[in-house]
Amino acid sequence: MSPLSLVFLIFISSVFIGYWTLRNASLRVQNSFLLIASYFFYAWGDWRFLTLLIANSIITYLLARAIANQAIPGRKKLLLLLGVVFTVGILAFFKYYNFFADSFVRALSLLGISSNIHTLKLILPLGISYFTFKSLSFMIEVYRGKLSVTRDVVAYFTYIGFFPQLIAGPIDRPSTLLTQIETRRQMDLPAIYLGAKQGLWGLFKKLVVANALVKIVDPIFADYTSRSGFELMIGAIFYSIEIYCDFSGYTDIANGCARILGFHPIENFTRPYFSRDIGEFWRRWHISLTSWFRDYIFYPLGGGLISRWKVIRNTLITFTVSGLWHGANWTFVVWGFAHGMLMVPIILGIQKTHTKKVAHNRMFPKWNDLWQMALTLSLVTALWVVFRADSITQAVEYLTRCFTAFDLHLLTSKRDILRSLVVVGAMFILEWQKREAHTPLDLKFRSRSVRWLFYTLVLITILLLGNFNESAFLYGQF
Amino acid sequence: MDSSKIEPPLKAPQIRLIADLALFAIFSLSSLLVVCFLIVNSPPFIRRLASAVTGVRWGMTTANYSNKATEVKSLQNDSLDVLFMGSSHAYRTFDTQFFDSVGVRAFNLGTSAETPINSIQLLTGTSHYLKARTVILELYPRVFTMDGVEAYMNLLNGMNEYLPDQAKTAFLLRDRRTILCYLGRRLALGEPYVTRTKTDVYVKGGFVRNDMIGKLGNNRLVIPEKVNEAQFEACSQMIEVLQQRKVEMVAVIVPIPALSPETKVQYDKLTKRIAEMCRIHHVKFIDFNQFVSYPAEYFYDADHLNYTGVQAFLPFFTQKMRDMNVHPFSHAMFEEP
Repeated sequence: MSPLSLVFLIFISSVFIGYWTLRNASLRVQNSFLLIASYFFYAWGDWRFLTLLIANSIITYLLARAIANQAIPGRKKLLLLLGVVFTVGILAFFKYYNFFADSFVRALSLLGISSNIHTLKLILPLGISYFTFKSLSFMIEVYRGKLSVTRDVVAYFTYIGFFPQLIAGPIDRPSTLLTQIETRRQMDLPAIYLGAKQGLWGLFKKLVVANALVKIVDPIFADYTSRSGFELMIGAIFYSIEIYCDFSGYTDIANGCARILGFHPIENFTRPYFSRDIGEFWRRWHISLTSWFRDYIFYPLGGGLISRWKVIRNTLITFTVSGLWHGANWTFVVWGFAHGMLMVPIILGIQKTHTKKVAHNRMFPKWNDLWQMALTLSLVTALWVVFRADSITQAVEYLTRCFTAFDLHLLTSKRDILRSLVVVGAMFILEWQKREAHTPLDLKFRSRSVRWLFYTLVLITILLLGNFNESAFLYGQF
Repeated sequence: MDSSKIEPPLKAPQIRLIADLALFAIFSLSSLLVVCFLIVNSPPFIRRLASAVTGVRWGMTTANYSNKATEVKSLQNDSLDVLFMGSSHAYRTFDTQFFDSVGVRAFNLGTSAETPINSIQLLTGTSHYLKARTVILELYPRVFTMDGVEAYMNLLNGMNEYLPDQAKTAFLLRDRRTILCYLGRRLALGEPYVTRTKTDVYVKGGFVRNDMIGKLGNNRLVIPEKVNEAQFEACSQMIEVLQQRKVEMVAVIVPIPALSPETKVQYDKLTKRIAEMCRIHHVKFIDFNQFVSYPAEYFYDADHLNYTGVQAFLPFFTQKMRDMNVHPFSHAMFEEP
C-alpha cells in the first residue's frame, strides 16, 4: 500500500479513528489494534510475505527470551549468533544470493573454471532490511543486558511490524519505540498537528519535488552517452536532490503517521545538504541507519578509542557494509567505501568536523560555511552518481563525460528544468528558514489564519503540481 | 507500565480536533475552488502558463475540437455510412473528403490521445447525432498503455456536450488532473479559449490535414511495457455495444514509421493481443503496417502520416475494405491503386 495512494489515506484515517477510540481500553487492546492494522498494511502488497514478518517476530522473540534466560556467557553468545545467522541469513538470501552467485561464477571464470550456479528470480520482501535490523537490535540489546525482554508479545510484534516504519524505516531502536509501545499514549493535539504538518511536508517533497525530478533524471542516466556535460551535471545534481526528497519525504510521512498516533519517532534527516563536511553529513543523513551501524558494527570493532589506523580500518569496514546494505551491486560497495575514505581526513585530524549548528541565530550562512556546504554537496553528489549508476564503468563514464563532453546543449526541456528549479529553490529556502525545527511547516505565526493559509498553499501546490504517477519510494527497494 | 490503568475520557481534545479538521477542510477546499476559478477565468496567456506548469487543461481547446463539436450537431438527422473513431491517428489519416469523392459518406470523430475508455464515452455521447452503419476504430497499440487522462481533458474542454458521466469519469480515472480539470470546467464563466496550430487545417468531416514533412532521424518513439487492462476491457465493451446496435465494426491500425527493435517487440505484443480480442468478438481487424511500409517523407512526426502519406494510403485502405467485404466500401467508386 503506497503512502501516496487514496487507499492509504482511507487506511490511516480509519486507523487514527479506531486507535484513539480505543484510548480508554487496555493498552494491550490498543496495541493489538495497531498490530492488526500493521499486518493489514503489510499484507496489502503481497500477503505471502506476512508469514516472513510473523516468523521473524516469533523466532527473534523466542531467541531473545532464551538469551535473557541463559546464564552461561558462551551459550548466550551462541544463541545470539544463531539469531544473527537466522535473520541476516534470510535477508542475505533474498537480497544478495544472486549478487554473490553471479560474482562467484565470474571470479571462477577468470580462473578458467566454469561453474553451474544458477541465479534465482527472487522478489525482495517489502521492508525486509528494516524489520531485520529492528529484530537484530532487540536481540543484541538483550544480549548486552541493556534491555529486558518484554513479556508483552503483542508489544514486541507491534514494534517489529509498526506500519509507518515498515516500508523504508526509520529503524527505531527498542529502547525508544518499544518502550513507547509499552506505555500508554496521550492524545496530544499539538503533537498530532505536528505529525500532520510533517506528513504534509513529506508529501510535498515526494510528489512535487522528487517526482518532478525523476522525470528529468531517469532519461539522462538512461541515455548519458548522448548528453552534454552540462546536462549530465544537471542530472547528477537533480538526482542528489531527488533521492533526498524521496527518502526524507517518505520519512516525514512515516514519522507524521507515527506522531498522530502519539509516538515520538527518531528523526532520520536533519537537513543533511546544509552540512559543511562529510562527518556532519553522516550525522544528518539516514540517522537511524548510520547510528545502527555505528552501534553494532563500528563500536564492536573497537570504535574510536583505538589507534587512528584501526579507526580508519573500522570506518572503512562500516561504510562499506553500509554501502552493501543498500543492494547487491558493486556500485553500492564503492559508494560506501568512498564515503569511508572521505572520513579519513577527519579521523587523521587534517579536517575538523562541524558540531555546532550552521548559521545559528543568523539569517544567512557565513561565506566560509557556504563554501564548505557547496563543497560537501558536490562530493556527495559525485558519489550519488556512483550510487545511481548500473555499473562502476557507467559511473566513471558519466562523471568523466561531465567534463570531457562539456557544452551547454540540452536535450531535456528547458521548461521542465526551470519548473524544477523553482520548486527545488522554494523547498530549500523553506528548509533553510526552519532548519532547526522538526518540519519546515512548524510555523510560528500567531495568527491561525495565516498558518492555515500557508498549509493550504502547500496542499494546493501538491494538488496542482504533484506527480502522483510515481508511487514507489527509492529506499523501499533497499 | 500499567496497562490496566484506565484514564478518564478526554472529550475536549477530541471535539477540538474534529472542529479543527472540519474547519481546515472547508477552508482548504474553498481556497482550492477559488484558485481553480481564478485560473480558469484568467486571460489566455495565464491559462496557457498554468496548463504548462500543472499539466491540467484550464479552459483551453483547439480549433479541431470546436469545429468538430459544431459539425457533430449539424449531422443530427443524417445517417452516415462510416464513422471513424480513435486517437489522432484516426483524424489525421481518414480524409472524409476522399471518402465523399468515392461515394462513402463518412465522419471522423477521432480525438487526440483517445483511448478505448474515451471512445466508448464519446460513442455514447454522440449516439443521438451520429448514426452510422459501420464504425472503423483505429487502435494504435500505444493507447492500450495509456490512462485516458489527456483525452478526457481534451474532450471536457473541446466536446463537453458529448461527454457523458463527466464527474464520475473524473474520479474513476484516479488522477488529480481530471478532477481539477472537471472543477475548472464547472467554474468557467465562458467557453474555452480556442487555440490554432499553424500546420493543422481542419477539413469538413473531421479530418485534420498536415502537410509538413517531419525530421524523423532515429525513431525515439517508445511504447511503455505496462499495459492498462482497463483499455482492453473498454474496447471489448465498445465492441459489444456496437454489436447490440447491429453496427458493423472494423478495427484497424494505420501506417506508422519504422520502429526501433525494442519498441517493435512491444508493438507486436500489443498487436497480437488486439488481434486476439477481435477474433474472440468476431470483429475484422487489420494492421496496415503488415502491408505497407512508407518512407519518412510520408510522415510529419514519429507517429502520424502527413497529407502525402494520407493520399498514398487511402486508396489502398479502401481497396482492402472492399476485399474484406466491409459494407459501405463494397460499392465505393474509385480507381484501384
